[in-house]
Amino acid sequence: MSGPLAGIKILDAGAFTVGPAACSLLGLMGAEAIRIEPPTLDGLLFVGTIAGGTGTSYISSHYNKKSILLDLRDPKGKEIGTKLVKWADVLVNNRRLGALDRIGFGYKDLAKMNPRIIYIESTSYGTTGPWSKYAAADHFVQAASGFASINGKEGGEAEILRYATNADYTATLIILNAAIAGLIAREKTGKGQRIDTSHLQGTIAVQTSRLAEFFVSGKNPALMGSVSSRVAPSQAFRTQDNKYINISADREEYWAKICKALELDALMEDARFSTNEKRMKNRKELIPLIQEKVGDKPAYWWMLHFDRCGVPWGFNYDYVDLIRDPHINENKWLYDMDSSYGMLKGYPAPWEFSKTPTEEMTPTVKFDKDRDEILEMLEK
Amino acid sequence: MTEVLGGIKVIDLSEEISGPLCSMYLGDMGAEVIKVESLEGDWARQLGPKIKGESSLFICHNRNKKSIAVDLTKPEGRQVVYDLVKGASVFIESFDAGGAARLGVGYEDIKRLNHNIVYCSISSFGETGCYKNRHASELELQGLAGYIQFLGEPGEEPVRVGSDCVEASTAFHALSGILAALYYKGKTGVGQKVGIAKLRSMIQMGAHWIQAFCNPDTYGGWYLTGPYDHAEHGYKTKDGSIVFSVLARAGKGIEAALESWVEFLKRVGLGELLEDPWFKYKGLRAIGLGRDAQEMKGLFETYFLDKTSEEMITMIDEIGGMGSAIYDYETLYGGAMHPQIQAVGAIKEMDHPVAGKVKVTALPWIMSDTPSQIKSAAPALGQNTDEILTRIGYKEDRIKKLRKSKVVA
Repeated sequence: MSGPLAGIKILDAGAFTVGPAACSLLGLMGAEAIRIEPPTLDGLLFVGTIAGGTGTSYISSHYNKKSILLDLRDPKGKEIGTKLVKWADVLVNNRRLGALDRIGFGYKDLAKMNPRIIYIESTSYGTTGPWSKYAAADHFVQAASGFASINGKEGGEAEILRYATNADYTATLIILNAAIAGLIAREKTGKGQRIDTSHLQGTIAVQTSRLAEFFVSGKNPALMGSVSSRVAPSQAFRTQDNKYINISADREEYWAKICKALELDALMEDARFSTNEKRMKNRKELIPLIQEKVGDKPAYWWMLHFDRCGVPWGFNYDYVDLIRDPHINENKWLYDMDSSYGMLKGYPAPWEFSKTPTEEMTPTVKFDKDRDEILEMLEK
Repeated sequence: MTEVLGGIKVIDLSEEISGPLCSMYLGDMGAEVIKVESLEGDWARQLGPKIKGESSLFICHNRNKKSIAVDLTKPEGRQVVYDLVKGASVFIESFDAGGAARLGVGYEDIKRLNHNIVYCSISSFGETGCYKNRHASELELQGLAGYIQFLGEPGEEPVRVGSDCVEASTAFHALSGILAALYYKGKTGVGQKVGIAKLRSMIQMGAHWIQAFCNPDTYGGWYLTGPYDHAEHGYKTKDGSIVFSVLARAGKGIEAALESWVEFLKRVGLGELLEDPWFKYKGLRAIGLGRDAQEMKGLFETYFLDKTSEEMITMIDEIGGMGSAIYDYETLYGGAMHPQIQAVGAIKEMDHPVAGKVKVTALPWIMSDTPSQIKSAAPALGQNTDEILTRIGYKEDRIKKLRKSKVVA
């Protein structure tokens, strides 16, 4: 194994995406991850979009792992589970609150089996409080955390971010970070520990910047469509061919570049727009001036022109645009990967480590595929 | 008490959100973070609503740090950074498009002075590929990563994600990269560079759906919703809106899920729908969200309208589903805050020397044996310049000279 975490051993005792995907990311960092598949089988295995007989969300939540089917309630399963706990450095659990405790694999039990284990429990809404009894998934946490309440068009209703599962994946990243923090701490203390996090905490962390605004105003943020709450201009503009292009004066130097690119040089001297704070205040006067210019020419023209002028710009991609983007393809951030499920899109680990390159993505194995190898390894 | 990153010194040249959020978390875990700012200061100091002249955006991303203001475009200014780097474990920069190397603080420059430093470089598009010289902000990157397609009405004006999800995700990717590199350095003594591209981070965030999108045997499945569906506003109740799903009995198979649907329909007085061929085709496969579910919105709402959101969520939980009201900021974070927000300890209050008592979000995980700590509020620009320079051996005269020639402030 290459990667900065080579030699580290991970047990995935999670469900659905949040915990399991974190174990896959640890796998990309070089750790050896083993998935414990419960006898009831994971909810993602047979639902959703199917490739090679398997749910694609299962496929994309379990790469770079080995797999063993284990009934932890059964004495034989418990014995193997105990051996795995002794083998592991980190155990990730995002099942419903108390599910592992009830079958004798809660932190108290694990710490007795292996005092060096780092136990990460990622719940939906935390371990105490009125919502702690509820289960959650991406959309519901968006709603419960306020994340959804600040999406929407001007004067419209709040809306859920559909399909992208940003809340799920944020919780995944937090488990990943917490696991490595636990490993660093263990080098100092010599002991494992319990780490608690939740879907809710993660989705709140994503709102840090918007919450900062709220704690000043005390008022619900206004819905603003594509418009930034802190930078002007930063929003979508309609082009001549009825497409939208996003541009942002993300720092003063880009404001100057936008003015030049749009042949609105006079605006640079205009006292109403001389700082971001003033542009925010006088946004209603500024935006029509820019829209008028952008509406004059088609999207393709602006794309080439903004590149020449160094203006921060971008289109709103769908997945077809995304998989055909030249930069993404040149970097192989998405690539064709052959697997037993057919051709899949692979994607590299998101870090570029100069000394410890990450592992390549290895497709998810059929559940229980590595039983013999894992049992043999535990005998040694 | 042991701190996870006690003894780790971080030199942070990053600006705005992602880099500062990342280094703030390093500080929460006990690292000493020295924020090196230009003489004008981090651009974030000018952004967001102000409290007594202090930027709220800056306050929320910069606690547990010290600030030194240095003009990096002057050779003496660069020398200050070079001297700082000598005792450091981590270096962070977010100059886009090769800017760090042009300023003389690229990885090669820094490595020469401190061979085993962990050097984290954050950029919009990474260091290779045809967009490597481009800069993009939160909005453009949300669009390019395919996020904006999932908000708003198809064909109408785009709607952005209200949260700065690109910046936050980038912060968590940078943080995990730095932590992993520190772990490796702890084992081997060897440092390295960790490159983080914001667009790549965002593709990673959504790539599991792209995997589903490409080449499956059957497409559809979740009936969640997609780019060409209507905006998802939830279902109106007496006092707000809810989102919910009844197909949520993990591990109990599709039959249990159908039982939940039957139970749900009976409770909302729509039992006859079970005989309706249209519902059998579309309704049963819907999970409360998405195009098919939206077709039932009007029907469901007639029942929901005289129930509170809380009554509805309790009922849905009873039958094995899940859901939530669409809560707004005032309900969750206003006044004494919602009991659940309090229960997870996600928001902390701290004293800021100018702004007074301020609320900030906490490190989003809690470690039982090595808890994080908030020790100091976000610093004023150059608040610690003298202290920091003195500690690396600069004498009073030299510091005065540097101030006079506007190298430091």
